[in-house]
Amino acid sequence: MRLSGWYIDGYGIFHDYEMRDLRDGLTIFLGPNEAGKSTLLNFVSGVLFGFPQRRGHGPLFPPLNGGRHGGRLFLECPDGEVVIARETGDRKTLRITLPGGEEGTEDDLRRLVGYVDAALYRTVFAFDLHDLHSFETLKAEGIRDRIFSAGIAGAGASARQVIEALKERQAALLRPRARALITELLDALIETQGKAAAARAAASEYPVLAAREDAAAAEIAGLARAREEAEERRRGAQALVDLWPLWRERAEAEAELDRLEPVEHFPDDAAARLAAVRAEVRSAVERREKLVAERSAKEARARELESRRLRAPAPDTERVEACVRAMDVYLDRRAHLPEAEAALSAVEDALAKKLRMLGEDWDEARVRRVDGSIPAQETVRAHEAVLAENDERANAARRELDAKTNEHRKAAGERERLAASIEKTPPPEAALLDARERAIRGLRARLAEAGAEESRVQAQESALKESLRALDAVREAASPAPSAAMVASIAVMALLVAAAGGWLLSIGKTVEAGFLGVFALMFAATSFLLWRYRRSVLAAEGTRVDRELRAGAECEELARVKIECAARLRTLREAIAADGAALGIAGEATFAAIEEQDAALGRDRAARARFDAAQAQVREIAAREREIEEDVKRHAAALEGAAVARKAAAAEWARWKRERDLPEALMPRGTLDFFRDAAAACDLIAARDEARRRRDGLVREIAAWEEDARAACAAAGVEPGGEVPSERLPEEIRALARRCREDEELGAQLAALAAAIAELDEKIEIERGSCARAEEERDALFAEGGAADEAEFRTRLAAFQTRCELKSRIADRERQIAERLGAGPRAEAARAALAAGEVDRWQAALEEAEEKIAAIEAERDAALGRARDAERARRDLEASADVAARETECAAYAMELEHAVRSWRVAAAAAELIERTLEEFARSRQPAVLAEAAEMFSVVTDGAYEKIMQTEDGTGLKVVDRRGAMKGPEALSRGTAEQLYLCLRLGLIAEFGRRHVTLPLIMDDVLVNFDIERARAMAAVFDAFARDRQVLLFTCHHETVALFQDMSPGTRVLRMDRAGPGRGEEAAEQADEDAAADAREDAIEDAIEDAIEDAIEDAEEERE
Amino acid sequence: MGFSFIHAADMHLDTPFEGIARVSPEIASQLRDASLDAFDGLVDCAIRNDAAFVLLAGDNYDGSVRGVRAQLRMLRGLERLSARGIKTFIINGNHDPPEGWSAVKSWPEGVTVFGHETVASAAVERGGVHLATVHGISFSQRTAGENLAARFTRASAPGFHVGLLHCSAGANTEHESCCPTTVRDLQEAGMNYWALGHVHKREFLCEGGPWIVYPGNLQGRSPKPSECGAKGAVVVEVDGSQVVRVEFAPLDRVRFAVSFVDVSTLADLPALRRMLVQRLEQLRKEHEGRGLLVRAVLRGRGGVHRDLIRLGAVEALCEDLRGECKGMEPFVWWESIQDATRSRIDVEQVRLRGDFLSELVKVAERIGAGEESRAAFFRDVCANLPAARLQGRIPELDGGAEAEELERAVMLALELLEEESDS
Repeated sequence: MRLSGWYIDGYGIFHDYEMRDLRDGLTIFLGPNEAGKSTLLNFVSGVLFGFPQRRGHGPLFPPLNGGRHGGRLFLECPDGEVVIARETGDRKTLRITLPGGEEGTEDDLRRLVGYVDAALYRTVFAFDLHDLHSFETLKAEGIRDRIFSAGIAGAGASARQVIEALKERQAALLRPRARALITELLDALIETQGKAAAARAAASEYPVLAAREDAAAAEIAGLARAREEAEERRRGAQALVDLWPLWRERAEAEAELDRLEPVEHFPDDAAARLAAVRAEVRSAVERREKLVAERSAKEARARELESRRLRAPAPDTERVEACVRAMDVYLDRRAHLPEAEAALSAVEDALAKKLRMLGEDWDEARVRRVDGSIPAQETVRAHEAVLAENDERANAARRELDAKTNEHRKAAGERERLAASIEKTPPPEAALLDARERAIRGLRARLAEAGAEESRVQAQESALKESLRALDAVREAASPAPSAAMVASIAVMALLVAAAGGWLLSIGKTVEAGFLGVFALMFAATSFLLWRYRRSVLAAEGTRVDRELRAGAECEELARVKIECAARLRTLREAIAADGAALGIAGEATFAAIEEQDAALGRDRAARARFDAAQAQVREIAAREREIEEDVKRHAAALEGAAVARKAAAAEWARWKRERDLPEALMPRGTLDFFRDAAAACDLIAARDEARRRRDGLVREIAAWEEDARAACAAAGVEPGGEVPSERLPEEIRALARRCREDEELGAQLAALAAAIAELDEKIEIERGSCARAEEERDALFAEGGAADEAEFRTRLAAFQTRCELKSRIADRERQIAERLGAGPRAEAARAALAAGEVDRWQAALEEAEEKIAAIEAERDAALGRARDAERARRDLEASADVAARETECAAYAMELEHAVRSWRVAAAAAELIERTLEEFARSRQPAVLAEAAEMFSVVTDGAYEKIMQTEDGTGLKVVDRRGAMKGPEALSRGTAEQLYLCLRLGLIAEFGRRHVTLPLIMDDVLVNFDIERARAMAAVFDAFARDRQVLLFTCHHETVALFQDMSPGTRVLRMDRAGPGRGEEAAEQADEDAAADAREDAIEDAIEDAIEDAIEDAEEERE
Repeated sequence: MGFSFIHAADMHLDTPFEGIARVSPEIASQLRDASLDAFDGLVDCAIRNDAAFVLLAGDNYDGSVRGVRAQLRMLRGLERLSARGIKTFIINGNHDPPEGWSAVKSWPEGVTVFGHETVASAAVERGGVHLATVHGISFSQRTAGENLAARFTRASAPGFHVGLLHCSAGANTEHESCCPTTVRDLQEAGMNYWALGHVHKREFLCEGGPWIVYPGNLQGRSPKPSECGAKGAVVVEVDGSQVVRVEFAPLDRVRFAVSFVDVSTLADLPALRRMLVQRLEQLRKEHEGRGLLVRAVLRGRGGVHRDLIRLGAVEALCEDLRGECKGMEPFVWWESIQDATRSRIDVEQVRLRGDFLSELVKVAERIGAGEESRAAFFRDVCANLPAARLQGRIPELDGGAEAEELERAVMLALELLEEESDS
């Protein structure tokens, strides 16, 4: 991918600033401070990955010179130009335009930048001096992982996202110091386990509760017995107390009885019988007097009626009554006569109108001939149905024909359009595409294998170099040892001198012998020392030789392995080249080329699928077209048949009408209406005849009644000598009727009065006999009671009644006492006690017994309460399902908890697996990056540092100088450290490019701390690095520009002004070169000074 | 003379259901009463069949820790049998020690509880006619390892002889061993019918000469295979000393049903849901008249696997299905949906790819290669779990579980990574 330009609408100092035609290779943007270099770097990063939304997340660069805050980037991709537009703000403002004008998605952008995210991009691909200086940024979370795994399917940023997704899963289940499913389930389980334990403990109390209930029942039974005894005593005392008043009343009644007159017998119900007899006598007298008064009243009434009776000529009652009975009918007929005449007239008018409506030549006779019967109507409806069916059939056939014709036209058009849209050159066959896909998959696997093999070759090569250096060092360490002959000759000389000394001593020359002895000792000592030295040298040499041999063997082994790896790598590369050629990849087969092939394959597959689908559709439409043509023909034939049938039916209908003298123009529906009109006319003729008959009848009956009425009037003497007019006849008849009724009523009343008087006479006689019988009965009663008159009778009666009452009272009291005491010895004792009459003692015993009962009842209530409580508890326990319920809950919680914990563990294990794989990935791929970075670092430092290695824990780096000494980046000078970090980034970018996509490298003044030599060397590295990728370098230093132009005269330089956006024109480049040439000499001087300072620092570092 | 008797075992009255997640309160109440209702059904069955006697072959009740409700319910049932002249013979199993019957002061007339010291015998008569002799011995810890079947002897007594024993016989390995014996030992004891208890799955170890029968438990209590399907007792018809017919009588009130669903042909979750609803209808027809606890086990490789591994997807589907079953009579409850579907990823192919996923598979294989490395890996992974609070509340992670979870973790990681790559 190449950044071909940008358009800034508004961002920092930039407004409406467009840059196009950025090329591959190195491009330098030269501008003074505040020309907007850092702004541009942030703009590129912001458009690709999003602008910071608020301060604190990064510089905002608000548009100082107007415009909308944002802009566009133009990216040159293998498929064409992609435009990325973005503005700041909360809204989603990202717009991606793909080659061909289609709108892309964020996923397209992510794919385009190789799944690099903002942090990775700003750390590795677009950085300034500040970012450069710190290794920490390279170690930041995920950077290492992303670099070493980027470009590998299923890793890199996506692996991080998966880890985050898995951590979200874990967090949903378990969160430290916060509530989540597992902690909630655990809490619930612990709580429910507590409840279950409590329920089980309660259940184990059941025997205790049952025993408690039994004890309470026994206590209640004992108390019940005690209460019964106390109750017995209470009942005895209570009986004496209660019976004492009765006992006393009985004794008093017996004394009173003794005092009264002895009237032992008296008539039964004497008082009632006396009262009854007296009432009977009085009643008989009263009834007789009342009947006499009534008879007198009736006699007076009969006399009055006789005086009111009239003597005048009587009317003919029968004739008058006949007239009265028929008078209402007569009056009604007279009233209805005008109405009947009006109805007759209306029917005649309606008939005339209906006949006119049927037609001019239609009269009553012709109308009566019309046959509108139900069979005739059915026949008409049959004709109508036949006609309608034929019409409908014809219409349906016409509609179907039209529809099919349209359908045929549309299908033909659709087929032609599809046929025209099908590509003339068919895409490759599916089998070919499958073969390509298999080849791509194989090539991708081989490339991955080759990458790993290459790393192994490099690692082996590095190890071999190291081993060779170790071998040289061992060889250089060899040192010569004194020869054995020399040691032996010195020893022999010592012996000879000693022998000579011995001889001199034997001849007495002691002084000479002494000198020779000293010499002999010196020779012996020298010989001994040389022998010791030689032995140690020989021992050291043996060790060295062994080391040399081992180092040699190790070198051979490494060389052999390296050769094998290289051979395998060659084989793989050949296979890759062959596969690449087979796939039509021009040049080297890289992952990017494979992705292109894969994308092309996808496009070919889609094209093939479209082509096949279109062909199938054309065939399908053609088949449908043929089917429709057949349908069109079939529907045309049907239409023709329907028209013939319709004509035959119409002819038959006309014939039928002619036969029945019906109008020719009538249609079936109209014929039915005509039938209804003819039937209505017939109905009107019948109605007119009926109206006429009714009017004539009325006239006749009115005249008959009037004749009878006039005859009755004449008989009663009304209007003597003349005829009563018709209008007065009803009134006169009514008057005659009233006179007849009055005479009849008077006669009836007089007869009734005579009968009533006779009846009253009989009743008066009967009442006289009743009175006499009642008086005889009263006198007999007095004699029965031993009294002469009513006063004496009453005195004897009172005495008898008092004696009876006293006897009854005595018997009642005795009965009550006997009922209460019963029989037996206890009753006898009670009677004796009552006879004694010790009431106070009985009262005291009663109170004592009641107190005892109350105490026992209180005890019993308490015992009952305890029993009830125990029983309730037992019953609750018996009915309780707490144990089962709580244990069921526990089992459910435990099961859910186990499930949740298992899910958590699986998610955690999956995340841990990915983490470990990322680490493994980084470990296995890092050596290639470090080797490449070390190579560049060695070039930059002119061989001062040869290797870059990982620390043992894999989290840090060490550099190895040419003497083999190791040191950490913190021990390097600032400039050297920055060179190291820059080389590391270049190594990472190269690795990333090999594995996925090549992204442009953007740097902002990263060389300012380099000495001139190293800056020059770095420029050479950049020059080589930029040969197959795009590098944009921002700088404000002309000497930097000069450096690069010296190294590569064709380097493109674009100038930026402080006042605003750069001109972006190469015409300015020459002017820049002139200025740069002037500055170059000054810069060289400064650089020499810096180099001297760095050299001093390096020397000090080396000393340390 | 012909007669019949009922043989039931392992009633575990009022013992909670195991291995199921929480259910709605209405269903929880029905589950609580299920074993007791099933026992009432057993009593009704005996009365309906005019049984001469009922045999309860141990593990009738899980001791005093289970409360007294079960004891009293059982006592009432035995009283009903006694009132109709039906004798009951009971032995204790390894879950119901004799001292556990704290709520029962005395057994009703006609109930015989065999002790655990020696094999005792009891004759069954009806209308003065001898019908059968029942021999039995209860389980005790002292004889847990003894082959108690060897103690049974028919002697020379004529008639129909029944042996009542709680033991492990045959090849069943699902239950812990209890008075282990063999079919041969049982055959040699001379009984006409062996009424056994202990194994929860209904088994006819021998059909004639003699009959050796495990009737299974009365009410299934968990989704384990041995607890699924119809549960109840067997009704045995005898003519003289010959067993004429042994018929299973389903008496359970709630059933567990496990439905295995192959997702390989299903396009998405709605299709899976439709399939599950169809399966439920089939199960309802199969188990008509019973409350149903349904577990769906999803298997196979298919596109729906990706939908299922999303966080909360399975639980949401389960809740949705439960909502649809609300108000059904008898009740239906989706106990759980277990996702055992496999990704379309072929691990063997991935291992050969040489990419990140291949490296991940190799890392996992290195971890899983040794027990120590696997245990160390899980120690690291589980560092954030509240281990002290979880201890004893969930099963410890053993080697088998570690291997299984590691495999699941690998598949999950591969699936998510593939998904990310594809997206």
